[in-house]
Amino acid sequence: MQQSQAPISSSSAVNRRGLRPRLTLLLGGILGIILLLDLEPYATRWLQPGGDIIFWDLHFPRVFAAAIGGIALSWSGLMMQTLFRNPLAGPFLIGITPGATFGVALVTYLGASMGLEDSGTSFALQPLAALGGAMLVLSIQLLLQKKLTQLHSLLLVGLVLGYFFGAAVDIITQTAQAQQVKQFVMWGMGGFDRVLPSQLILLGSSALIGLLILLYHRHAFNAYLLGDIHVESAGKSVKNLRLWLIIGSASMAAIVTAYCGPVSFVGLIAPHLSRKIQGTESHGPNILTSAFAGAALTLTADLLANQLIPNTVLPINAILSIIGAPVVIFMLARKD
Amino acid sequence: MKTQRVLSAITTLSALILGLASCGEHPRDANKSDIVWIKNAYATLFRVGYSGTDSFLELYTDAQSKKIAGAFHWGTSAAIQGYEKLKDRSKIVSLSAIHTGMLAELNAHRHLVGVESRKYIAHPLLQEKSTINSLSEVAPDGPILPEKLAFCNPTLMFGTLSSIEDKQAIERQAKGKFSVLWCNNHLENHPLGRAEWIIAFGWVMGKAEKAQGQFNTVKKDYESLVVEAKKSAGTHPKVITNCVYNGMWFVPQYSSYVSQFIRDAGGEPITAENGTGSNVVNIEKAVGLFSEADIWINTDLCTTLNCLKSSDPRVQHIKAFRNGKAYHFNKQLQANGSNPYWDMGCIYPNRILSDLFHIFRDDLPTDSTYYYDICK
Repeated sequence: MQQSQAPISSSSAVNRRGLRPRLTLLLGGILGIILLLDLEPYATRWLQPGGDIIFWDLHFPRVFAAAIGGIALSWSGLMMQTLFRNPLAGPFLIGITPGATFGVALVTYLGASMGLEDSGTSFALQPLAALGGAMLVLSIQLLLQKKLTQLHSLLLVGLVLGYFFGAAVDIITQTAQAQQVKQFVMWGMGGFDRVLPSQLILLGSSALIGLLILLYHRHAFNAYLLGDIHVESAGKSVKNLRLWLIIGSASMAAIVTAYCGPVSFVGLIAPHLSRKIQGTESHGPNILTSAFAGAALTLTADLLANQLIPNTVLPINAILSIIGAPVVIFMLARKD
Repeated sequence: MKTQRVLSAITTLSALILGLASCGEHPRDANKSDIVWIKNAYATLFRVGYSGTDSFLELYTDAQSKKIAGAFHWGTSAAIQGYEKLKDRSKIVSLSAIHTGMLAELNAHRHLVGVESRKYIAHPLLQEKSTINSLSEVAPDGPILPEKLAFCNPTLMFGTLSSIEDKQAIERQAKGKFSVLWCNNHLENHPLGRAEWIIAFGWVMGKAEKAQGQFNTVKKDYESLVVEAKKSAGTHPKVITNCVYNGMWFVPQYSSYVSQFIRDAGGEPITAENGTGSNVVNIEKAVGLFSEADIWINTDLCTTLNCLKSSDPRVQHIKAFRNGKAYHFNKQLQANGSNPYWDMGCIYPNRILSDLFHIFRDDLPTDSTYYYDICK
């Protein structure tokens, strides 16, 4: 019974019980407005010659990739923060993003060396390489998960893997040619423009898998936040639960990184915002709110990146960092 | 009396000698009105001037502010205020394949002791293994390697600004040892402006006449092609450049170097904005802009339509792609990775213009091009 309840719930938040659904609704409303603003410029040009092609083949995939990517990253962040019982955990911390970056750097460099550049194969291989790199890190984490009982050891392994793959990427880029470096740097800036309509299915599927894991294990995850003993007393295996958390969070982060490049801050901020609104760390209510927050963040960043300076697209990661850094500092300062 | 006369003669003679010596050593004030500056035809970031037995070179950082990037002189005057006297050009380090190419074009490549990287050099005079291998690489992977530069022990260096760190490192090393000429030829927006820089190199190497003659030939050929393109172009094909990188497209602006080539060859560049730089637009905006493009040039490393499609399948919405009218500039790409389009094309922009002129005109064959070829 204990595990089904919100594990951490402040008294002031309890007093604001009536406010929470309204705040969630407000966040949903904001998300809807941003979505409309992002879709509107092309939707109105729908009937113009070629307007339908631009909308369906180019604009729609970008906006929906931003929305789905934001949702997947927020859930990935939520699960990772649960796994490490640390509100600062994210895909960067356990080495997923450096692993994916390594995969892309390797295929960009090797593609040219093997003459794949001209055939265009290296472009097509990029998402697969990112996925491969992320999965490599995930496999190492899963293997070590069986041996390492201490959470902080797992976290340290993630950090060390991050340094390792970061160093490998540095060596690769130092020996690569200018064009390869350009291609790699463009991928590293992050963005939803490169997502094809067919790839939305894969992005959506990863988010769906993450959602199913979150929904199915939400009570167990709540107990996990209170400590291993609470999980064991509920008759669940801590190791199994960690396995689900790693699989869920890493696969979502890996697939988003593969298709959209490394997208920073969303996985860190969205769960925070959600917990502030809900006033609880319980997973149930935070699933919807963190999804709203994640999608609102990525859509806002996408909108600003495309509209802030006419005829220029700004890097998504730069926008997210400018929004994200003050928010995180503000939240930490308020908490302290 | 006799002693007095001798002493007086010695004093007078000494004064005369000292006076003559000080005339030579005392810094002469550079009176700008004395210098006759040669007006460039297209280049805006350097100028060459003459005054008596002295000649001058001023290099600028940008065309608007005309801020001095370096001022140098050759001549009999020992020192002229505001101008650094060039003393020795026997051992040169060049940080750009274009500068190296210009030196080779002037037959001054034997003075080269170091280059940025051997793999970017495509000049025919430097292709022989013994020649190219005799040059040290001072920045083979981008950043300058100070030890390699010191090993070259240059007396003169042609620099191109890649980073502030590199500039500082080079200037620290150069202090009192060698002169550095920061050449911003890459910032010239007109192709002939970049080609005209050979005159600055000619001035440094003492081959001003040869350089002027070379530029005049290129200019004459280029300008006659422009006239022909203007006369004969009934319809101006809409032209796009570059290709998509991870959903982003670098689109040159209307007055940029590449757009100037397109306009001069009788085409109409499709751009996002007026200006001399470029815009980064996403694939969505690019397809909206480029859907009606007739010709696609400068497809980077892609030499096949399949490669262009793999970079983003949505390029199929562009008319030029559907009609197979995409052209790459890798026709002369060499085994070591060097591409004469970049360095020789800068020295001979008339060749690039001629290629584009042939590509834009349906009635001319495109198999006699220098650098361009169709994407198969």
